[in-house]
Amino acid sequence: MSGDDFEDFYLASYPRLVGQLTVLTGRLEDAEDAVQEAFARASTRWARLRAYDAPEAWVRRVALNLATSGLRHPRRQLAILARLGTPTAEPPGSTDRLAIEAGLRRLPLRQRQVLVLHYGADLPVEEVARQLRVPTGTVKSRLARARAALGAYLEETREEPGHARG
Amino acid sequence: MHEDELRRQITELVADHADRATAPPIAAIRRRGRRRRARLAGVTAGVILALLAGTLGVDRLTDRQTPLAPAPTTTAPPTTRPVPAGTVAQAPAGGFEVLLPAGWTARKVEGPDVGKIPNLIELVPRRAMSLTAAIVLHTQVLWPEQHPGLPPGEEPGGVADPHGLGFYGLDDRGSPLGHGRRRDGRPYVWRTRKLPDEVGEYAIAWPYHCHKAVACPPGNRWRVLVVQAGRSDDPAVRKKLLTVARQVVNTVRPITNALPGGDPTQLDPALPPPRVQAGSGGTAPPTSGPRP
Repeated sequence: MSGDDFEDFYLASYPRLVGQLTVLTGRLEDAEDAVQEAFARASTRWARLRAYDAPEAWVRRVALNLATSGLRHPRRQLAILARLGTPTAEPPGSTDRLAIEAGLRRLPLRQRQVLVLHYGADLPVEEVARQLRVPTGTVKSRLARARAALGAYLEETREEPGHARG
Repeated sequence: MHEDELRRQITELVADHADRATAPPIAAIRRRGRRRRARLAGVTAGVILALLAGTLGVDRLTDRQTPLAPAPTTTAPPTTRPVPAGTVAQAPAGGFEVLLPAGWTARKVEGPDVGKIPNLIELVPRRAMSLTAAIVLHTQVLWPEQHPGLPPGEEPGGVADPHGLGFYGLDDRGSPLGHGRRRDGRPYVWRTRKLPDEVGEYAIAWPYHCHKAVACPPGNRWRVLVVQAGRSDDPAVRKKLLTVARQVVNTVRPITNALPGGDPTQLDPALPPPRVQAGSGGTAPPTSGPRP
């Protein structure tokens, strides 16, 4: 990457990271706030980060930590709302999409994290473990549990067409 | 759920959300970064000033209305609720309570979205050693091959995972699996140093006892209490963490569903919900452990 290439990096990575974080948090506003803060931190360290093989991994990790702590802290949620205004209206989605989003929301945060990193960001299990600083066995275990729980939920909703999702 | 199908659906979901994202101008991001850096510089200056005041013994400085030291912002994740000092911390659904070691306090992780995690307790030193110096206790269903105390006659090998339990495993990058036994006879396994800065973790046999009115969930026989001893780059902190972790391993006590007779109101979230109709279960005999 050359001289002032932070902007290129930012424009290329921002939507992708917001997409991944939205699946984790369930809210576009939370994801955007976490990703913007992560890029703000990256902007002051860019001279060092640009030498990394994958600066996006650094930004993702910071955003993930911020989003995770935001999810666990109601006061932070209120601050985000105040800063970003009211949430944008969700566009209508297909039945499958609604079901999988509802299923994801029901999963524990840690399971959502591994799903997003492994499937959403297409990272191998070892890299997911590195990003989350947990053993690979733990990642595999969480993935297995998440798949099982999501599968069971989707099965349940298919069997009950009138079931209220979400 | 088929893995490829799940991958496709999550990828599509990510792409949909990415399409809706609007990147603010780069100048706004840079401004936010600069503001944060300025804030941090102010905090650092405050800390240095407070340290100076302490070192010089200028007591009057500490009597000012405006605090010189900033409020702690990084050592305690905002996800936690302190447990009163000098007490025990309980995780009812995990079936354990832990006596707080001297100089340590406990936090329970909770939040609006995550919800309480009733089978997890985090112990942290009152005087911060490092950001990662914490001992975490949580129940898990351990991979049967690693389980420290299977019921007599049970073969640990070749166990499938038909219920999708997602067995927890002690990482094989650490030391060879060690075995031990608590004073009360409960067996445990342990491993040290998975990563260079890690201390290690213990898994104590912590069988789930089904109440007579509630069917047993699958995997309950392999439930363990995991004690993770935290991590630190500092060998002295690692040594301290290991000492406290050993103390915790030997003093943590069973409650609720870890006692014969169980507690029908406390189902461990580490276990999948029972699929058998209520009424078909029974109380586990204290000597033989819980029913499968």
